[in-house]
Order: sequence, then C-alpha cells, then structure tokens
Amino acid sequence: MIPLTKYLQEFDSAHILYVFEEKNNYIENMMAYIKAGTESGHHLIIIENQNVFHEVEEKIKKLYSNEEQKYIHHIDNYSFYRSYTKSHMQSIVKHFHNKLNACINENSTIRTWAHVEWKSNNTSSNKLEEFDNIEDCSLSEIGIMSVCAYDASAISASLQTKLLRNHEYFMTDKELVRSSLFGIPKKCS
Amino acid sequence: MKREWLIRLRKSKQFTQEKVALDAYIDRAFYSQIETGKRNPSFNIALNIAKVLNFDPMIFFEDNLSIVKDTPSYRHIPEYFSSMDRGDILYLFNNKNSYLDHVVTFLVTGVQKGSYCIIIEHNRNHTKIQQRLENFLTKTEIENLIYFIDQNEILQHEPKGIVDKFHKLQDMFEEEKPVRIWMIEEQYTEDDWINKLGRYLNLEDNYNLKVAYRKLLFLRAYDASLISAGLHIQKMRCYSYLMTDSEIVDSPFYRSLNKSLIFPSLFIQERF
Repeated sequence: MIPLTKYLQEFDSAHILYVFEEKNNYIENMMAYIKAGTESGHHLIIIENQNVFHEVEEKIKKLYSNEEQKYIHHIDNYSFYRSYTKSHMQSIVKHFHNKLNACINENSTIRTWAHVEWKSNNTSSNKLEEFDNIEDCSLSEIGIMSVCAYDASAISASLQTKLLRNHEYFMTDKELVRSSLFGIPKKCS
Repeated sequence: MKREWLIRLRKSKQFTQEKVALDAYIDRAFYSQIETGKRNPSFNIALNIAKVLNFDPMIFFEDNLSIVKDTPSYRHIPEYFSSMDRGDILYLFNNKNSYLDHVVTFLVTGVQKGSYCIIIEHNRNHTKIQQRLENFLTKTEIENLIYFIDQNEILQHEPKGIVDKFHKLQDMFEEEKPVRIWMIEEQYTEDDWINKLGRYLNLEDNYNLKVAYRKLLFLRAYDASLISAGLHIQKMRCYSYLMTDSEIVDSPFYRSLNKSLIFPSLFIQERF
C-alpha cells in the first residue's frame, strides 16, 4: 500500500490544487486518482473537457470492468463552468450525490476531479486578468475529496496564490506538497 | 526527528555511512543529516538510499506525515523583517500601496538592525520612499545606511559595470554588518540581468546572489498579475520564502535546504 494515497484516503475531505504543465502527466495523475478512488469503492465525478476525457475513457475501458466503470462519471467541464457559480457547483454535486444514493448505496462516497477552464473570447494579452475573476472551486462546505486542476500557463500567479489559501495540498505534475498558505488568517499584517 | 529505523537498518547490514552515501551518490555529511533528521531527502535521493539498503522509499515520507499535518508556519512581515538577516524572498505583490509599505518596513527594520540597505527601484519611486522613510529615520541614518540604485542604471549596464558598482559599495561596507537588498522587476524575462551577471561571474547557481558567505537578506518583487502560475512554481523552487501583500511563508518547493517535504505526485507514487 502506498502511504500517501492511503493517507489521503483517510482524510475524506482533502482538497488538492493541481496546477499542471504537461498533458501526459496530467492524464497519468488523473488515472492514479481514479485508481485510488475506485479501489476504495468511491464514486468519481470527473469534470473534464471532451477531448481529454475521450483519451481517459479509452484507458478506463482497458483497465476497468463494466461493473467498475459504473463508479466513474463524466461531466463536460465546458457546460459545467459556463454557468458556474459556487452554489451551482455545489448543487450539481448534491444532485449527483442524491442520484447515486438513490440507485446504488446509501453511504456511497464521492470524489471529484475538476479541470477548471474557461473558453476565452479574447486573445492572449489580457487572458491572465480574466482568469483572476474566477474564485476558487473548493468544495470544502460539502466535505468531499476533490482535485481542482488548472493549466499553469493559463492562470496568473496572483490567482494561484488565492487558490493556495483554500487548498490544503498543492500538486504539480511531479510533486505534491502541503500548501504553506493554507489556513492562514486573511489579515495578518 | 532522528530516523532510528534508518540507522538500525544500515547497522543491520553492517554498512558505514560512507558506503551508503557513496552508493546513493550523495555526500556523507548529507547522508548523516538525513539519519539525524536534520534534512529530508528529495524523492530521487530517497529512491537511491532505498535501493542501497533495500527498503520501500515511501517510508521516508510516511515518517513525516505527522509533520505535514502541522499548522503552517507563517510570519507577519514586519516581525520577519526585524528578526532575520539572512534568506531570500520572492515577493509577488497585488497592491501597490502594500508594496510601498513593505519597502519602507524593510528599510526601517534594516537600519534598526544596523544593516546596509540597497534598494533597486524606479527613479520615480525614490522620492516617495524617501519621504516615507523620513518619518521613521534621521537624515544621517538614511544617508549612511540606505543606498538607492536606479533600476534603469542596472538594466542599461553591462555585467562588468554592475559588478564595479557593487564592488564600490562593498568597499564602503564594514564586513561584519549585515546587508539587505530589495529589488523590483518590471517584468519577467527568461534571461534577465541577474542571469547575465551570474554568467559573467561564472556562478553555477545564478538564480540569486550568493547569500551564504555573509549575512544577506535578499528580496525580489514582481507584480503577481504579470506572472503565470507555471513560472511562479518554477520560481518557488529557487527562493526559500514566499511573500504576498500580507504574509511570508516557507516556499513549499524550495529544495536546497531540504527543509520542506516534497512528496511525489499521484502517478509517480503509483509506480513504486
């Protein structure tokens, strides 16, 4: 058993901020997250764009039985974030939770993997500014394990700093650390 | 926390510290510090040591899970500035007023500690900063301990000119007194003046000025909205502290001191 994964399993409400640079590593990390989740019998909601999910789906089909695949659910992130508000996101998760609970198991646990991205109309120059308006995607009020993934080249350091305050763990393609900004009272100077 | 298990394991195989260090391609002193718990190995070094002694490398990380759970250590900025005289800080600011407040605190606390303070800034900000300083310090203190350098002067000079300038300053400085440097960068460029300076001085690690040989507190400031998250991560690896408008924290990816605990990402864990 791998200690950290086991460790994360013990904390059912861990929030990981994942800022990725390389697509292959991104997919590998998602696959490992799915594996850890399905192994502990949890449902996974993958909020992802069609292109990436298509690739992931191919892998899932090879690795998991039909029965296991029923635990892995996809939501298109474009339609998801287009109408994004914090309450909206929570209501979707709650909706899923209810739906799953109704048809599968009263105590089923959900984990989410959300690729947060915007389709931008503007080109390059003020792209970073625009992303600054996105608040975090943290689901802390619901208390489930979640990964929020952002493209490292698409968001500013300023937004990343904000996100680091709300997520306990911070992952890059190859590293995972505890966020040193997590849980610091806002006004302290 | 001493790694008793590692020491026991090594002794059970009748290996010396030298042997393990040599086979793991690290320095004996570093290995010894890993045993005493003073430093943490990076994932690659953990792998190498685990290979030599034949154990699961993840034990190193499991070992420290309780530490990971600890509350983060952060510092109020003025408190940090007045207590430290060594280290390098990456400051990403959002608010220009906070920025100015912190420049002044940096300089005032520096003077109070008897540090020489060098500030590399735009000329247009010099007067503003100077005026604020006069509320806290005497003219003599400002003249004797604070050195303004116009950023343009640095950017226009070739490395040799910059080195000459710093040498002149250094000649005036008493050796045992601490030095602190504050510099703002208008924008990020891959090959900036410090890189060029580093090449000129033929330093291997040129991401910051060498701080080990004397008491030097070094701060570099960037506008947070102009830097991408990816670049921010890269930079976190080079600085021991991260600063925002409201606090200073340890940099989670800083490797040189191996103070922070860096786990492998999910898929890399999966492979071992």
